[in-house]
Amino acid sequence: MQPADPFGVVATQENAVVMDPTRLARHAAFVAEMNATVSAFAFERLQLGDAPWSLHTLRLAAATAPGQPADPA
Amino acid sequence: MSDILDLDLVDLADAIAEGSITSEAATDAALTALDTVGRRLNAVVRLSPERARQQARDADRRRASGAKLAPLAGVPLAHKDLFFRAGALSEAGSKILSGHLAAETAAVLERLDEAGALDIGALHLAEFALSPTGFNGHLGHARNPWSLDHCPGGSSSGSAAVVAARLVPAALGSDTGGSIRHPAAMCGITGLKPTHGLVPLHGTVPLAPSLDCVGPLARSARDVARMMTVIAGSDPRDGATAGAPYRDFETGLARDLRGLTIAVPRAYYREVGDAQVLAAIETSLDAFRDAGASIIETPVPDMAVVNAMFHVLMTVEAATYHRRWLSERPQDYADQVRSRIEPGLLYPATRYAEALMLRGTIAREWLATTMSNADLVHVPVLRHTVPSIAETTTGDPSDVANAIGRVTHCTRGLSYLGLPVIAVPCGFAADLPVAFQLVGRPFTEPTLLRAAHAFQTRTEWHARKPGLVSVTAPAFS
Repeated sequence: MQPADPFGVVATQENAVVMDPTRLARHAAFVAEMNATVSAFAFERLQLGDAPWSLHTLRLAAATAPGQPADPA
Repeated sequence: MSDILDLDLVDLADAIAEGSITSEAATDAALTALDTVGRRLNAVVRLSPERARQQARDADRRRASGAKLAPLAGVPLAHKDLFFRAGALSEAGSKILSGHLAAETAAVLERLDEAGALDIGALHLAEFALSPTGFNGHLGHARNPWSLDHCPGGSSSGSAAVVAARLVPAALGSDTGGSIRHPAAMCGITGLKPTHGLVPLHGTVPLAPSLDCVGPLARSARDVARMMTVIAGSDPRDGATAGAPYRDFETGLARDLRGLTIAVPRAYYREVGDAQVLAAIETSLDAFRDAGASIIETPVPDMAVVNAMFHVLMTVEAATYHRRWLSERPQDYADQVRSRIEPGLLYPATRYAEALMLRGTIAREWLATTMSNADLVHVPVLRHTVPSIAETTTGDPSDVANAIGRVTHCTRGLSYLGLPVIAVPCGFAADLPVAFQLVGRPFTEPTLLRAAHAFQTRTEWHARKPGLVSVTAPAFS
């Protein structure tokens, strides 16, 4: 692992998991792409009302709305 | 004369309840089938014959005494080796948990026990439920009963293979990015990934709990409905199930589909694929029209964003569970599995929180875009023919990665949205099953099941039996 490699630093020092340079290189491009995609979307769209349990809130709304759970049957 | 093993779940439960078949005979047939054909498919991890036969005799005695019978009384089932049973081995298809004895019993197994079902064995699965093909570097690859050289799908590989081969009538699976739907589709059976939080996860080995769902694999929507009636509903040991409704999923199953609208997205789901597969998916819409449903076309939001959110959640949560083992025992993972977990060690904490906090917003937008004028969405499970084991395990690593990635193209994004999805067989391509998914709004499993049942009353794809494997089982009149 290269000490200056931020991925390697995170994996080895922060998570105590050793990944050799070959393994890190295998992951780096894809992780960078996913990271950028989520980051860009969140930068534009995340609002103060959003919460970690946001999906649970959506489910509860579906379960407790009048006539719900929504089922045309 | 019929073969006991040819009976589906509901018919077998009815036959045992009315006394035309004993639970002991059904259990003997299933144990024999699993021990022969099941092992040929490499779908069986271990069997519990003594306990199963004792429970079967107990079930027969209760019936003979006139006691009120539970909905699955005396019915032999088996499940992927992911669910804890107190005092029993539960190894999750891994070397890491080899020899692990569970201290408690999974909520879903408790519910099946209360419903009278017998748990007669543990089935093959991907290591820690982390492969969409049925690959397991420790147990060997499970086999597809339609072709032993092809993937059965994963991670619920054993559950799908034994139900498709008619060794047991139903099995539990788990689905984080498609692990119920892939194997159901590849083996030609019906599988339901419930709304996240409808079925409790307590006592299930986790992969990524904010995505994990437990659900049934069975031959038909009717059988899946029976299983869901037993396993669904909130459990105080799983906070994600707060507010989840208890229901009878069999009620209303037979109603027609008049007034129901099914939306069909073209972008993302149907742009690329094998012609024979896409043709079977398209033809399946005719049965819905015949049942009275309206079919409309619909757009979908940018799935690249949805898939990226899924990847961050899945890998970070998995890496969190596995960090100690990745640190101390990395050599005990198959490389394919370890490589899928490791990226989760590399994301900033803020990426994970963003993916979690935006989930409600993205799900609402997906529903508003794709389902604004519809009750259900119809998409493929796989756009390509079932891959061979060779093309997903050997050769150029990038080709292998592409072959595996194709399997999850249509499933993983839907997992991030937390929506209920049912996989239904609808044809064959290259002599292997093809299936579509129906997607609903949260907690609309009854609508999904009703639509799937309507499809299956008009088609017979779900009733086909693989000819490759056979087993001699006791007959009954």
